[in-house]
Amino acid sequence: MTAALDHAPASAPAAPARRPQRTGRGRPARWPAVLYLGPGMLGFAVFIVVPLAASLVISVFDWPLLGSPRFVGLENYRYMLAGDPAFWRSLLNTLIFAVLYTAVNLAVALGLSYWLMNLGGRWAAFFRVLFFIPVVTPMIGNALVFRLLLDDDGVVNALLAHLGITGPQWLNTAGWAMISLVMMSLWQGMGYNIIVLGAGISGISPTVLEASRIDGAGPVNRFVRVVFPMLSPTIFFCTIMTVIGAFKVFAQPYALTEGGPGNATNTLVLHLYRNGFSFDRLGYASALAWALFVIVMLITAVQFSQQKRWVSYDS
Amino acid sequence: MTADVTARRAAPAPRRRGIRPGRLISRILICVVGLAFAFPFLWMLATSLKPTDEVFATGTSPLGSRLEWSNYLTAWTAIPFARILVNSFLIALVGAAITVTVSVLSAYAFTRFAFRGRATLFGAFLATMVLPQEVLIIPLYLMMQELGLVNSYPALILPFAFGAFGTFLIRQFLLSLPADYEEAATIDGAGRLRTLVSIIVPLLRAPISVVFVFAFIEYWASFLWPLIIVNDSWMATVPIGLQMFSGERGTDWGPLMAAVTLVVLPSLLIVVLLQKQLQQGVSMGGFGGR
Amino acid sequence: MMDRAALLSRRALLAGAGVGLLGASGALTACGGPTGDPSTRLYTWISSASDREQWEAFIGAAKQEDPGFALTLEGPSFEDFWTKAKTRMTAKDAPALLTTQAARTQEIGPLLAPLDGLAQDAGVDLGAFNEAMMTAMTVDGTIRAVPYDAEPMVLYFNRSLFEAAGLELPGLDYTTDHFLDDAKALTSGDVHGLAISAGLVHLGMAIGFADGGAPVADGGLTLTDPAIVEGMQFGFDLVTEHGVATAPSAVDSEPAAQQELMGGTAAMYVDGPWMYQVYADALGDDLGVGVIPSRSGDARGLIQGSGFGIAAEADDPAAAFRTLAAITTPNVIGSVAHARGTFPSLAQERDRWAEGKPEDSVRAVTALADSGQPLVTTSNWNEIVSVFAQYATDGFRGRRTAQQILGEIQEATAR
Repeated sequence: MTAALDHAPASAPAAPARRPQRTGRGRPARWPAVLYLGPGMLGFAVFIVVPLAASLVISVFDWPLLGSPRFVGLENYRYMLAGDPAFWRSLLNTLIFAVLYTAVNLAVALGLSYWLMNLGGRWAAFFRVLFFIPVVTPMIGNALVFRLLLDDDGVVNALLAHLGITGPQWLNTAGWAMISLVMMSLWQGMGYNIIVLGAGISGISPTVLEASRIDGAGPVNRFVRVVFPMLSPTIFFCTIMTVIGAFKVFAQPYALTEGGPGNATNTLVLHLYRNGFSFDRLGYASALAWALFVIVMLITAVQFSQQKRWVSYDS
Repeated sequence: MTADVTARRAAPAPRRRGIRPGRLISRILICVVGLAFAFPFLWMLATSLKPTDEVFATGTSPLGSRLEWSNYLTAWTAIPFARILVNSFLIALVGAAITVTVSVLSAYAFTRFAFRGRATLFGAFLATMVLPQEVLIIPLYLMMQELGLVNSYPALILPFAFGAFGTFLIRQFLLSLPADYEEAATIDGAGRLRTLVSIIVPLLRAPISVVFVFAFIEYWASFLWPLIIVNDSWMATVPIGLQMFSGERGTDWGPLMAAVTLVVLPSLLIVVLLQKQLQQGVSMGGFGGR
Repeated sequence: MMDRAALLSRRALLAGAGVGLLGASGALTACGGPTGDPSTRLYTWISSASDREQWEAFIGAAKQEDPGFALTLEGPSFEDFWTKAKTRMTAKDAPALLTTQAARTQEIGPLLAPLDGLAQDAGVDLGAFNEAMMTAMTVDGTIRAVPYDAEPMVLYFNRSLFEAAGLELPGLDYTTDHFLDDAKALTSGDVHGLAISAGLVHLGMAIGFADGGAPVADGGLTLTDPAIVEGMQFGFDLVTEHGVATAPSAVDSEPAAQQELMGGTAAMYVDGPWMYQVYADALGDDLGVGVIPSRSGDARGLIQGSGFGIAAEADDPAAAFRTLAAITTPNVIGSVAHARGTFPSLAQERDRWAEGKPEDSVRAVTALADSGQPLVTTSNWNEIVSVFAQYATDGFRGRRTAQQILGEIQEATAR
């Protein structure tokens, strides 16, 4: 899996095999290697490896914020799988969110970036910036604005009423709340993929496009036959990153719906945060964290195993 | 702008004067899409000028009974706004700087030194690129508590400065960079570190700026970790600061929207300043299409 | 081949920038952060303008008595406070004082030092404070906080809407039947009989409490207490069956409901006396305060309130208690009650609170306070409140009954 990710930029030549190097003063190279690698690997160990292992240890304890931990064996996992009704619901919600968000995000971002490329010039530059703004404005602010817009008597429903449509209770019915969550997240996050895909598209050799234009291919045809295959590595990268991002969804439900109504928009990370830091159950939250970890790893592995079917690395 | 150049190259402008009708329709349509996209921002601006007790009551009208400019003053004074902006910028800058430094050093070591277990170590390191860092927040929090670092800059910055993405990206570039230069310089007697700083780093400007920009945005927008580790308004970052408009007696919606509007301005600045690097870097980066 | 000077300067520049940034972050960490004597620092919710004014009122009044008095404030937003208190107060440089609420004291009890001995040493009589509040502030048999207010949930109403509908104003023996009839009569066009918010401790809970129910008994959660279930269902039915209120949203139901009352589109709303001044500013003489309706008409107040405590880990509890005593003198509590409208925890200061308020409103609040019982809670109250907030939407939209919702929460959180 890592080898495949490593392979993604096809143009980068493989690392030439090297003899161990010697410095000017003739010292063996492994000491400098340790020096250069030191900061990165120390941070990697302290802030990633150790916490990952520690998380597993904490998950077999009943661990409150105040007071001392108590060993409970696999009780947290048992409760997660068989006792906690919110776990399965939040897992299902996270999966639904990830599928909807990733699919629509990539489709729309791809369409928009292709459209922007065709518009060209300052137009493309301007709209690329516009679409990117929500990415850097704080999520919490964005969510609060959407809370106003999607209120039962809010602007969106007022505009729909003008068109003779009775708008749904966006944030107060289970299905619509999830749709609102996805919409808001798309608005927030799409600019990122528009930039990345846009860069990928502009990297396609103009002569290739020109050739297909001379062949008489229309924009749609050109997209399917030339642009998409050439862009597939970029799309693959975007898919991987968007899916992982979707599984981490937290701030949106936290600020937009508070997980409700019921548990309709509760997600794994929101459930994790609440159990850990609001409900005082760090042990159970760690068990949830490991569930998240295993699921994301599995899904990423599946994506990598499927990439040969549609990603082409040779131009 | 590079976007201009590449785009024009891809789709040469028609020679004749005037615009083809297809293109005109396309332009009008994109303006409609853009306007719809910008609508939440416009609504935010409108709401920021409403008296707080009318925010829900006048849900459908863009203007309240009066223009409440004082919301901006309240927003600025109710929380230590300037301090919070400085916090966010500082954390993002220092965090991105550490990320870049560490990534360059690691990438250099992974490409220019041969040592036993290099492939394995790099593989394990790279695998964590897909590890959601949310998985680690509980042990990280307990670690910070043990070290007495809760509610401090190091706690806000350090845990997320050691991801694999930067090393991965810079390594890709280093692999494609012939080692001859450096070897010549090293033989000249320049130390390795000097060679790295004076010869290699300038050649890596593009990937370094991408890593910097990505790290900066990640720190700037980060929410979950600051939510856990920040305890008071003095150490708050921008997203946490925005939360502070909810008091015991309800939320100050008018000032809150004013604050959100005020925060969009520096965010806009960031996009405009960094978009060139982002665009350029991404297209040259490891994940640009070929 | 290389321009050495340029290279060096670039390196110097990079190094300089790095050192500069680190230095700046170090300096910022040091400056303005929590410094000074912990005994003069209070950890509290301080974010919105009204929070800030509230605490400044305490400090100002204490300064009048002792010009040398000093107290610095730090803390997060109200929403985050109950989570943050646990992490902040276990840190090394933690303030020695913190604010708590009656409903939350059980939850953060371990953070709070017993005050009985300290008060005795300082010659402060804790028996003078509102008894209900003192009960709520007691954990494991010892008092953990000194309350500054004791506020029963009340029924706010709009006098002119009642008059326009030709109705008598709610009296001290308001029954739920009478209340429902009034609400129906008041509902017409854009105006609703009442506004409802979805929180756990609002109309439904207040009515269930007035009918003798309690969500917690003997330290255990009793959400399925028949009176509480009935009160909650009554609240749901007001929306689903009788249509006298709009269904509250899952989020922001509180500001939306408050704005309905203030904008004159709802005739009644249940809230605490701490909101009095805000509503009076919006409604002027139209604002009235009545008792919470109950089946029998005998008002029984649901009392909430806040107070100051001392950190269990404080190095110098006696010094911290001196600060605490200075902000809970009768004079300070009285002047805050007068300036901010908080209903005082000391009976002798009620007159200063009552100044300038209509007589019938004063009578209603006083009656509820005198008949009131504190809202005592469990140590996982935070969880119960947030889970209820998620589920309430279903109740107000008729998708589930109060029995189902409360039963599920009772079961899920009793673990």
